[in-house]
Amino acid sequence: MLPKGIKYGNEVRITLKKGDITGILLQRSELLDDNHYNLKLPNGYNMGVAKEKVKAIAKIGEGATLEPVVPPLLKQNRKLPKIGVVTAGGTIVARLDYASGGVKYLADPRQLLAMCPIISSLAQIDQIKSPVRKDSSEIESDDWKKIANDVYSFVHDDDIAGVLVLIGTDSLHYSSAALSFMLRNLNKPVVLTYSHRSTDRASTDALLNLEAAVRVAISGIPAVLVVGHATSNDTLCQALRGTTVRKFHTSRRDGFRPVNDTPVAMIDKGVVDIRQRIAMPTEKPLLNDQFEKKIAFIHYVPNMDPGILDYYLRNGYTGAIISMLGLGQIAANDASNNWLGAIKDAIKQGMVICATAQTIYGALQPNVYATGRYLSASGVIYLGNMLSETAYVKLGCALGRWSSRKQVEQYMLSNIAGEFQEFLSYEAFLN
Amino acid sequence: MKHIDYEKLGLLCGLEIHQQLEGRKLFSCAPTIIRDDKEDFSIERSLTAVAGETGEIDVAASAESQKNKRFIYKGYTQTVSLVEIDEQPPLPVNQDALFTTLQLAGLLDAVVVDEIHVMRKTVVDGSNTSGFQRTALVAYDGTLRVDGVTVGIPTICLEEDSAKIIERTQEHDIYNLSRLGIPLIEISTTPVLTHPSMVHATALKIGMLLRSTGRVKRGLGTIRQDVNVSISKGSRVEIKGAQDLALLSTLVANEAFRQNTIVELRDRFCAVRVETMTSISALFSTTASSLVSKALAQKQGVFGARLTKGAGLLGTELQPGKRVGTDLSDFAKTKAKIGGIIHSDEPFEKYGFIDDEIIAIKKSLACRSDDAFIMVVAPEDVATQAFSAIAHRLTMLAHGVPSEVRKANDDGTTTYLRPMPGASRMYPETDVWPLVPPRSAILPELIEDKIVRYQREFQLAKDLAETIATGSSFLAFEHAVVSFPCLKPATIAEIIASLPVTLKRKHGITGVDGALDDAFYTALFKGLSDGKIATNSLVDIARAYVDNNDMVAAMKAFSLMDPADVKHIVTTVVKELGNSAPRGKLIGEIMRRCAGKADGKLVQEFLDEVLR
Repeated sequence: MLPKGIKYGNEVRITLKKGDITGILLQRSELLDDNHYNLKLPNGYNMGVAKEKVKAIAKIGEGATLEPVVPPLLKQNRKLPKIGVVTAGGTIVARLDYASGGVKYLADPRQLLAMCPIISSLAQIDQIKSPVRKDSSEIESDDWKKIANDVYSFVHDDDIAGVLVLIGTDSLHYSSAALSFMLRNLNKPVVLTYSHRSTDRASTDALLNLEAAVRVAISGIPAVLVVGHATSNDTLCQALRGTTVRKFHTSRRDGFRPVNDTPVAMIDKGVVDIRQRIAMPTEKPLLNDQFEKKIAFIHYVPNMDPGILDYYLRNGYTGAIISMLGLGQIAANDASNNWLGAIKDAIKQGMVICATAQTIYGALQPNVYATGRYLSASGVIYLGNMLSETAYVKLGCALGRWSSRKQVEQYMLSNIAGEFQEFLSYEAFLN
Repeated sequence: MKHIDYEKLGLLCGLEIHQQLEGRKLFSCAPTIIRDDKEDFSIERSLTAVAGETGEIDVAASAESQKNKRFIYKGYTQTVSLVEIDEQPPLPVNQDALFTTLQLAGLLDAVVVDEIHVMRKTVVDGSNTSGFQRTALVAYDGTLRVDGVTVGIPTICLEEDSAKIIERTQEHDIYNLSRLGIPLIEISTTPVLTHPSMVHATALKIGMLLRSTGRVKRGLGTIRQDVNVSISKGSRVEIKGAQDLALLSTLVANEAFRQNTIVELRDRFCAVRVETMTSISALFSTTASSLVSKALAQKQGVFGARLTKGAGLLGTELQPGKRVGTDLSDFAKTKAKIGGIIHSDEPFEKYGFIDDEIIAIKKSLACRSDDAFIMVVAPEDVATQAFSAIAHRLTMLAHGVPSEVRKANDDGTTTYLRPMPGASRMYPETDVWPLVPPRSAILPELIEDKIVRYQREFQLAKDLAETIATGSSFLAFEHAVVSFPCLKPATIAEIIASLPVTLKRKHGITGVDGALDDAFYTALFKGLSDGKIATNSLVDIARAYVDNNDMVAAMKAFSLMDPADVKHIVTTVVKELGNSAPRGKLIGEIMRRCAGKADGKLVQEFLDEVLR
């Protein structure tokens, strides 16, 4: 509680037992203790003043407003290709809130585009939709539906060359997979981009990512792509397929890497160098935004109790991805925690169980070892070289649309959006 | 330079001292080893000016960003972490560095803040990969007595050091990352220092306090002084990066002279005018100047402008060897990608121009006898930027001494760096949570008190006491006098004081202060105390330790043999050569078999015993 007549942002004089201090009174994060005042001193430093030492606090001025100045909006060049923008939260549309020290979302996403003036020489921003504003760790499948619907409205518009989706990084590879499966027969680029360093810092990675993403959005590649730093340098960006991308680092700006795949395009010095051709669909774009939330994701570890499957069955789960060891094995032969019975039982009760590789790279091959052969014979669907995270999203989409095991199995084993590689190339490892 | 009456000029200076600390980096666990060997990796980045806390893009920040530079960072796999390359959020504040800062706060009688808030200070010259420097106010309102004058210490801060510049070119700046993130204590004084010598004395005293903690880095570059200088008719100018304490008073004296000269030249600055720039490339089609002919071959041009009523002005000295022309050139270089300017008050021979060319330039620019001219060799758009910067600088000078940041040069002069930063340079570092400092820190004994105590308590001579107390091994000394009472304190002190000197003299090994650490001295004095090593092998042991950093091996290589083994060798040799063999022959053979590891006196004693 503040003393009467004093507001955050006011210039105040705090009288202590020993001497006075003046400064701007700042709001304090609610997560901090309530025993201090936050004060910005005239020299720019902030400090906490213990309330117990304060004899008096008096307002000596209104103080400066701490709201950031809104940069002027971009001037649009009507001759340039149009892109649609969908914002879905994340660091890239967040700004530091100086009053509280926390992070807030931009009031108007056009502010961000105004920070990157080069965009206005590449494309015109037709419209900005903001269906979701949250931290990417809070993203859920209902958000994917909202984002997919807004993207779809742009996909439908023949005037629009491509769609830009601004989104947080933490769950980005799940979101990119969801959009890949929900938006079928894409005829234009849907480009997800992000930042690992917020735009209130000079070293932000957002501007290069944005510029590269806009270039890819007008490149005509008909796919959901994730565009961002390819290295730690602020020089080279890459466009990765939405179904074969994974976040591999908690904080590095080049944290997104392709798995079992290579980049679709590299963006260097303003040029989009296309490395993989993606065919234009012959049919019209479609939206299938159904999603079944009750999908289990089980990362097998030695000693793991198969009873976990029971829990999922009892709670109405209809699908499970088991991220398996090696070529696709878990205890199913002579271990004390044999999973074979529990798996057979779950499948019998209608659960769709799919296997992926917890090695991340490589493909499953269940027939090499005995345990794999037992599991395969029990009805586990082996998903070849599909990424586990992608498999989770794909199974959610499948069970959202169909309840027939046959249809689901057929869908899971079809290559819908580049999630399967026909063959694994030598270069598609650790890069 | 003529004698300056500093009191009459109204000289006022304040200091900002930056001292590196030993240990780990401030926000990562990387070691604080400064290296300049070949890098393991390099990274290219760019920085963008961003709006500050109050929404305005800081003047200093945007001036740097306008330059649109690329930055290349060179790093080392073993000593640079992801925090330093802006690829990982900072770890919590290094507690050892905080402790040392709190000790300083105690020594300077300052008030420690109730809660420390780490800030981001915007720096977009590339010296921080993040675009800001992390810094925190730890204490304020301290005082220091220097030669009878009370100097206020308004702030004591703990901050990250910046990356070291290796090379600046027009396109990119190259930095070495090993220095980035080293903890720095920043101590500022109030601007009450009225004479260059007082600035020097204050810096000296603060340096002594810092070293008294025993936790600061030593050597050139580990302490840097920034000094704020103003004269009553001038302005506050911040001179950054004075590394050599001895240069401090020269920098201040030169700056006072520079400011006074600008004040004296004010009417002339007001009177001059830079006329419109014109291309004068045609005058140099057959020039002997390689600078110009090379530029013309690269499709650049020569551009000139008359400086109306500027005769003699550009050649007026502002600092030793640096004239008004140098000032314009330094300023213009920060605004336009030019190598420099050429002006009419310079010796033209150095550019390879002939008199006819000078006459032609003057004619082409319609210079009268009281005019001067300025030339720039560059592409046309760059030259336009340069002349606009020159005109701007002359307007600034006409308004008086510009308040700005200048870089300290090794010769005691300064060069324009950037405008004085505004107050909107800092915003909270949200990745580091505010922290309440520990209640109090145990204060270290001051070096000056230590010197007195060593003389009183250990009967050291004054010189020896000073050497030990000011050196980095005083803790090793204090531990040894307690742990090895059978060694005289003076002997211990002599060894600690002389080993680095002898290593340098005999083997040319320098900078061993850090390498000869506590572990080394403890083992060494234990060996001496137990009679396992001889005093004449200390230098060899030290050398072996510096080379291989393996004290066990070094001691083993030079330790004396066990007396029982010596006796065994003596007995064996006497048996083999016979009792009647000449004593010299016996001793020679014994010593050979002992490989120099036996005390000669002991051998004689045993030989007497066996022969008896």
